[in-house]
Amino acid sequence: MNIKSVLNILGSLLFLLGLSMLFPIIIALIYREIDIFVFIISLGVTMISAQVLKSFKYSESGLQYKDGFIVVTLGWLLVSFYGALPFMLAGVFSNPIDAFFESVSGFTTTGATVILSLESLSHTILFWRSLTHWLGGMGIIVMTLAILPQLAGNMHLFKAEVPGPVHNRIKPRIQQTAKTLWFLYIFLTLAQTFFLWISNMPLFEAVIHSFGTISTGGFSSRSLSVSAYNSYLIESIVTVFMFIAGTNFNLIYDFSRGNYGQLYDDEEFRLYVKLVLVSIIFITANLVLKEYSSLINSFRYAAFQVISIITTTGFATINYDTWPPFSRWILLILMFIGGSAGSTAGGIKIIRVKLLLKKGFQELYRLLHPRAVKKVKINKQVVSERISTSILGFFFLYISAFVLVSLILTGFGTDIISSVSAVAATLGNIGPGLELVGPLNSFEVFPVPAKLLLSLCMLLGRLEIYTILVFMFMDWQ
Amino acid sequence: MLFRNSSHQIIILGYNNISFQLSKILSKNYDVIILYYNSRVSDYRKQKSDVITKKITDNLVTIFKEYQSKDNFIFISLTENEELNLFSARLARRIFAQKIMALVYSEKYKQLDFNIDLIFNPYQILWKKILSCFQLGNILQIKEIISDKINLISILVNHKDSLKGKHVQDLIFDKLRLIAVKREDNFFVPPPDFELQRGDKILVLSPRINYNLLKQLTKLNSKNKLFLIGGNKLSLFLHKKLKKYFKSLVVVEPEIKKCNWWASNVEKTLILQGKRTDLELYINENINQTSHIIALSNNNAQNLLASYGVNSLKSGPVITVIYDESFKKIAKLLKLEKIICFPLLISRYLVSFINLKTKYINKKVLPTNLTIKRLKIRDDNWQQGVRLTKYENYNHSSILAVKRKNKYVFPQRKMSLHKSDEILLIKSKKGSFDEY
Repeated sequence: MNIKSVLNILGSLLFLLGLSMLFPIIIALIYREIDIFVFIISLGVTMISAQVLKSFKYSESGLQYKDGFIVVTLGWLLVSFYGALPFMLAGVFSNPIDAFFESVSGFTTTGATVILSLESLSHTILFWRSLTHWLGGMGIIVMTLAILPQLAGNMHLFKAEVPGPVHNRIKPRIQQTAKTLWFLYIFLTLAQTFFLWISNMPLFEAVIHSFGTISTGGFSSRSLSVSAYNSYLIESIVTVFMFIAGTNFNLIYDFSRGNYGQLYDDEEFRLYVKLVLVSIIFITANLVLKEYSSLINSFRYAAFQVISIITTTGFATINYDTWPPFSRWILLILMFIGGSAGSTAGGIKIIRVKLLLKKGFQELYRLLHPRAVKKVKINKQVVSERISTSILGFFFLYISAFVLVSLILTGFGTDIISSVSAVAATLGNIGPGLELVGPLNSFEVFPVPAKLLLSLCMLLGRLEIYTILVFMFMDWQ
Repeated sequence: MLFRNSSHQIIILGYNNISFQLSKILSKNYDVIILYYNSRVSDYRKQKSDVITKKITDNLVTIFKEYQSKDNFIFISLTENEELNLFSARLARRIFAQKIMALVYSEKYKQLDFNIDLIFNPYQILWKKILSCFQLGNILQIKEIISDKINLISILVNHKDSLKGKHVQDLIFDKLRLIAVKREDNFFVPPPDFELQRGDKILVLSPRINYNLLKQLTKLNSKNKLFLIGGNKLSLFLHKKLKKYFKSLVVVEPEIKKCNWWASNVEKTLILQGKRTDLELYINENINQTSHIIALSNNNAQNLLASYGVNSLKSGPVITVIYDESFKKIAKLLKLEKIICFPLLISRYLVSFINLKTKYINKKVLPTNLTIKRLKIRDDNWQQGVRLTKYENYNHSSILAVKRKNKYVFPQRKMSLHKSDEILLIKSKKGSFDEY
C-alpha cells in the first residue's frame, strides 16, 4: 500500500471540497446571510486538513490496485465528515450524527433528510445541501480524476467509484472520459436550470432543483418537494430531466454526437423505457380505479413518481404513501431495481437485473436442451463468467445487507414496512420510502445508532458494496 | 499429352482438395502446373495425378517470371488465404497470364473491381446448389449465365405461391426479370400479358439471390428447422445465408471450443455439443419431416454416417457434403440421395468458365430452345434519354443483359442507354408463343 500517495490524494480531495465551499459563500453574500461565517470557518478547517494531508508526497509509482479502494472509501468518509461541518456550525442540527447523516445523504445523492422544515433554513445552507448532491452525483473521485494530472490513467479509482458492472470509456484516456462526463453533467444542469427558470420558478430554486434532479438526489428547497409549485410545466421538465439523469451517460454522449441509433440498440435503455412505461400504465390504471377518478391526474402522478423512484431521485408531487398497495408495491420493486448503469441513479441497476434474468433463462434453456451451449449476451457482447459471478455475488450481498439492516432496525422498535423501505431507500440511494419514512416524513424518528447504520447503507449503496467491503476485509499488513 | 489442346496452359496456386479435383478434370485437355507452399494432398494422390507440382521456395515474382512467354496461360489461385489469391492473380496478369481467377470467401472482395476475370466464392456456389437441392422457394436450379454477374434461376410455379396468376410484365423489376416460360415441352419467350399457371417452369434473371427476392416470387415456407451437422467455416457461411429461410437453426458440433465460439458469435441458433452420429441428440431435438439437414463437417465418413442416421429417423431432406470423390461410392451404398462433392462442384464451375467461348457468357445453361441475340445501340437507333424500357419485348425477345464498355450489367428497367451499348436478348429458336 502506498500510504503517502493515498494521503496526498485525500488531501487533494479535501482541497477541492474546500474550494466548493466558496460557492455557498457567494450565495451568502448575495442574500446577505450570517451563515457566511459558517462556511468561512468550514472552508478554513477543511483547507488546513487538506494541507496537512497534502504534505505527504505523491509517489512517482502512483497508486496500486488496493489503494483505489482505500482512496474511494476514506475519501467519501472524509468528505461526508467535513461536509457535515457547516450543518453543525450553523446550528441546523444539535446532534453531530444528524449532521453526518444529512451530509452522507447529500453526497451519496440519497436525499433522505432528518430536517423537518426546509423553509426555516437559510439560502446558504440550502445551497450547500444541494451542492453536496451535485458533487456526489457524478462522483467526487471522478471529479478529482478529471482535475488532478497525477491521477491520469488510474482506471481502478474510476472503477471503484463509478456505478455499474462494466465500465466503458467515452474517450481513450480515463482523464478525458472523466472530463467529458463532468462536462455533460454541467451542461444538463445548466439546461434544466434554464428551463425551470423560464417556467417561472425562481432562479435560486431552479438551481437547487436542477442539482437535485441531475444528481438524482432529490433535495428540494421546499418541504412539499416539487408538489409545492403545483405546475404541470415544472413537473414535466423535472420528469424529463430525471429520466435523462437515469440514462447511461455514455448513451447521452453518443446521442449528443448524433449517434441516435445507439439508444435504440442498447438493451439496458430499452428495458429502462419498458419498465417506466409498464409501471406508469399499471399504476395509472390502479389509481383510476382505486384512488383518483381523473385519468389525467392519475397519469400525472404515476408518471412523475415512477420516474422519480426508478431513477432514485426521490422528488414527490403527491403523498404516494396513501396509494393502494398494488401501486406501492410497484414503487418498492422499482426502488430495488434503480436506474441505468453509468448514470447518477442508484439501486441494483437495470443492467444487473437484465443480466440476472438472462442467467435465469439460460438455466431454463439448458434444462430444455441438455446439450446446448448458450452464452449470456448483453448488446450482442458475451458476458464473461467473471462478470456474471460478480453480479450474482453483488445481488446476494445487496439482499443480505438489506435483510440484516432491516432486521436490526426492527430491533429498534420500527415497524416492518418502515424498516424495509428505510433500508431500501438508503441502500438504493432513493431517499423517501414508505410509512414512517414516506415522502412527507423524515428520518428524524430513528435513534442515533439506526441513523449511523443507515448512513453506512447509503455509502454501501453509492459505492456498490464491494468497494467498502474490500476496504473492510483488506489485509492491512 | 501429345494430343492435348495446348492452346492454354493452366497454373494453379495452392494444392488442396479443390485444386486436386480441378487438376484431374483439366489435365485431360490442358497442361496443368500446380504451385504450392504447403500441400494438403497426400503423396499417394499426388502420384496419381497427371500434373506437374512445384513447391514454392522463392518469391512469387521470380516464380512467375519462369512462365513469361508467348504461351497462353490461365492462372487460378486457390489457396486458403483470399488476400494472397487476389494479389497473386493480379501479379500473374502483370507477368504472364491471359486469364486469371481467384478464390475468396468474403463477399466484400467481390464487390470491388480488381480487374480479375473471375472472383468466385466456393461457399456461394455451394449455397446456390443447396437452395436447388432443398427446392426452397420452389427453386429447381440456379446457374450463372454471365459469370459472377447474372444468375439464371429456374422456378416451378406452385398453386400456393404468388406467381400463379401473375403476368410476365408484373415480374420485371430492377433486380429481377422473367425471361422465359416452359409449359409442356419447351421454353419460350412469352408476351408481356402472358399469365402463369400452376406447373409452369419459369426462368428468372437476378444479379444475386436473396430471401427478399424469393419472397417476392413465392410463398416461402419458413416453418422448417435446419440442422447443420458440423461447425466449420462453411457451416457459418450457410448459417448466415439460410437463417431467414428457416424458423430455427441447430448446429451440432462435438468440439467444445467451436461450440463456445458459435454460442458467442451467432444469434438465435441452438448450438448442441455432441457427436454428429448421436441419434439420441437428434431425437431430443424433435427431428422430423419438416427438418432439413445438411451434413457438412470436415470429416467425410462422419457426414455420411450422420446423414444415414438422420435418414433413419424419417427426417426431411438431407444433403451430405463430401470433400473427396471416393466417398461417393459409399454414399450410394448407404442410399443417400443428395450428395454434393464440394471440390467437384467447384471444379466443374471453374472448368465451365475456362471453356467459355464467349467471354463470361455461359450459353450452355440456357435451354436448347432459346438463343442469344445482340442488338447494338448506334447513332441511328439512339436518342438522348432513351431507356431500356423501349426494348422490352423487342421482336418477341427478353432482355438478358446490357454490355457497356466491355462489362455486363444487369438490365434495370429504367436504365438509360448510351451509344455503343449492346443489348443481349433471349429469343425462342422456333415455335410460336401464340400456341399458348
